[in-house]
Formats: sequence, structure tokens, C-alpha cells
Amino acid sequence: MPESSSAKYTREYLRQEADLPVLIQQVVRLLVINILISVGPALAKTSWLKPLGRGLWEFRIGGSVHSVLKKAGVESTFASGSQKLLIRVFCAFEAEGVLLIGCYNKMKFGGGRPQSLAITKARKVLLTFRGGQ
Amino acid sequence: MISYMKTKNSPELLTQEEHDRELMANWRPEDHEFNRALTLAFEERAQRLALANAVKKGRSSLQISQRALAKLVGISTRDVCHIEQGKANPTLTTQVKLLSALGLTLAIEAK
Repeated sequence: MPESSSAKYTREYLRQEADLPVLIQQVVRLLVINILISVGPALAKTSWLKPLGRGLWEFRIGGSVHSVLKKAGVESTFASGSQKLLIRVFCAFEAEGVLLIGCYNKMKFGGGRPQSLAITKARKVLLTFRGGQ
Repeated sequence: MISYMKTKNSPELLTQEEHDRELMANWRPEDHEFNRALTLAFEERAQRLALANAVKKGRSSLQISQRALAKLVGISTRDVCHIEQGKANPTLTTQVKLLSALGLTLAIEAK
């Protein structure tokens, strides 16, 4: 994804990622790079991804750090591995690559209305991005 | 990679390096330690997947079964299966034997 074309659309993602607790932030970052971006749309067949409609996807990270890393095929012997995380990364697969739109901390903000609002916001960003292409 | 913000076209935004530097500035020593260990664990995973792909491709080009390859190398078919799935962590000896049987070599390169 050329940075110049997508940078302003990933601002919210970066802000939300930066707001996560440091340990969670590191886990999310490496999962996004090594699983979401590396595997891409082929993840759609797995429980990592859930379609939200109209090209918006949810990259689902949930469970303990240990279980999440195990699911990713990574050996986890970290002392902090029992820490729980529940993160939803809103993204889209565009011709140029994966567009990261939002990073929702479901553990902190819960599901329901706040999550729906985050999805609506992500959808708007995606529509704006596509409109600008 | 993550599409970070670029200064070239958007001077008001941060580069990826600047963004990362700002994040890391607030990390405690144990956070850096965890990040190093986690990054290493993902690198190890990447190496396992690279081996898995090499074995799968090599076996496919030679058109031999997992069972035949296992017999050639002297390991179980289950081991070959796990290696191809990136689930196993074979010893260096097994890796060399496997790759050699497929006409491949193990190379170590600087990052």
C-alpha cells in the first residue's frame, strides 16, 4: 500500500493502536504484520477474519496472549502470557494492500453500541478512501 | 507493511520511524525486553514457515509423496507432515537431511 495514498486513512488506526497497553500493542502490531498483512485475504477462510460487509473486515484477536500467539503458530513462554486481550482491527483489502482503518479495544470499551459506532466510523473512512481513488 | 504516515507528501504527519520512536519512548525496560522476545518468536515462526514452503515446493517439484520423502530422510511421515505445516521445529540435522534429499541447501544470510 503506497503510504502517500493511504496515510491519512490509517491515522485513526495508529492513534487507537498507540492507546493500547504496551504489551497488547506489541502483540497486536506483530499479529497485524505477520498474520493479517502477510497472509492477506486468504485469512477470510479462518477465524481470524470476519466480514462486516461492503469490503470492510474485522481482524479478530481474542483470548490470552498465550492462546493468541499459539493460534498464530508462535511459541509463547512469556511470563505475561496470561494477560487477556480482545481487539478488533477494522481493515480492507485494496488493490495496493491492506488498509488498516481502526483498532478497537473490545476489552476496554465492550461490544454493543460503542463497537457498532466504531464500525460505522470505519465504514465511512473506507468509503472516503474508495471515493478518493 | 503498515501504512504509516509519511512526511514527504504530508509534512504534518509522522514517518513510521518517528511514530515508532514516539511509542517506544514511553516503554519501560521490561517492555523493550518483551518486544525483543516477541519479535524473535515471530522470526522463528517465519523461519519455520520458510522451511515448510521449501519442503512443500521441493517435494512437489520432485513429485514424491510425504511418505517417500520421510523414508529417504529417515523420519516419520507425521514429522514430514508437521514440518510442511510449519508446526514442527526440526533439528538442524533433520533440516539438512530433508533439504539435501530435495536437492536444496540451507543458507544463512545476514539481515
